[in-house]
Amino acid sequence: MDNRLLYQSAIIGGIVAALMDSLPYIKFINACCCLGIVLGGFAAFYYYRSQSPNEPKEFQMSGLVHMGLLTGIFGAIGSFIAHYIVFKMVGNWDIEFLKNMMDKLEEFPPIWDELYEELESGKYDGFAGPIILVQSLIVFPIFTFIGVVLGNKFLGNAFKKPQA
Amino acid sequence: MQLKIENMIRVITIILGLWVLALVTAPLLVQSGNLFLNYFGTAIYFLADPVCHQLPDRSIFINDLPMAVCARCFAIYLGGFFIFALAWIRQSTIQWPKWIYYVAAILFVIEILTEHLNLYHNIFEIRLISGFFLGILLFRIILETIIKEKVYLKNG
Repeated sequence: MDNRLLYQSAIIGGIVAALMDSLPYIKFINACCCLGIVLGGFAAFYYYRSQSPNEPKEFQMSGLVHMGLLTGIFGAIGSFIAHYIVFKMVGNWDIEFLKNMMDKLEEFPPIWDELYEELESGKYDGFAGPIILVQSLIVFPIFTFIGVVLGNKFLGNAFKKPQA
Repeated sequence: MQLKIENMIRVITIILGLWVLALVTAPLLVQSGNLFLNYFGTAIYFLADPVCHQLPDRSIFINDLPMAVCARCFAIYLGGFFIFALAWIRQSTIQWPKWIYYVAAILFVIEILTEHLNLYHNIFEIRLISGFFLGILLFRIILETIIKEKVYLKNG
């Protein structure tokens, strides 16, 4: 594997995953099994393959794990930064969104009563940076790896030029 | 090396099994009187938060609390656990043809679209079944990547 290209791909994939996880409303795509983060891994694989169509060896598991984990780590750090920028620009829009959504529910389960009160108390008005970082560092590598594996399955031979 | 790959399948099966178990037990842990178990249950909800919307009306309730992920997501992980457990037991190296994935993806999109067009509303059984098959397919792709490695190493 070309290390320079690997890092480039991981950074590009990480940026895609980070944006998908932090941009208001677009982040809802992750409600479907972290699809946005998976797309980051897929983008990383796509970029790598498109830049090295003639790489002779097929991707092996170790290479996929390497790319998936790297993309996930870059994505987690990128997500932390992007969340901070979004927080500075529009505040905790997702807490407001959650409160509005809960207001519209006819009834919610017992645990949500307490949650609603906590949200109303202003306890979560600050930037939850460390929590986002810890959560992202656990979740991102898993799902970007899945994205890389999906890319390998469906794009594995897509860029290979026919041998003369 | 072959042993390593078989071990990898075992490890993933165990992790998926533990994750499914954690999802089922999270509501029970949160409601238990024990402080440690309570924190443990909360941690499961916390980890599942970015993975799923966690909407209660789309979740299975255990002891009056919604599970940490929705019914479809739970079925996806269950399907994943099922396919890896099967691979552990059978140790098959057959690869599925690509069209299976395309057909399944089309069926999944049709399922979501028909619900959005209000042809039906929030049928749990459909969510569970489609999630289970989606889980089988998604994790089958990961499994096939591992199997491919096994064949590759075997052939040198």
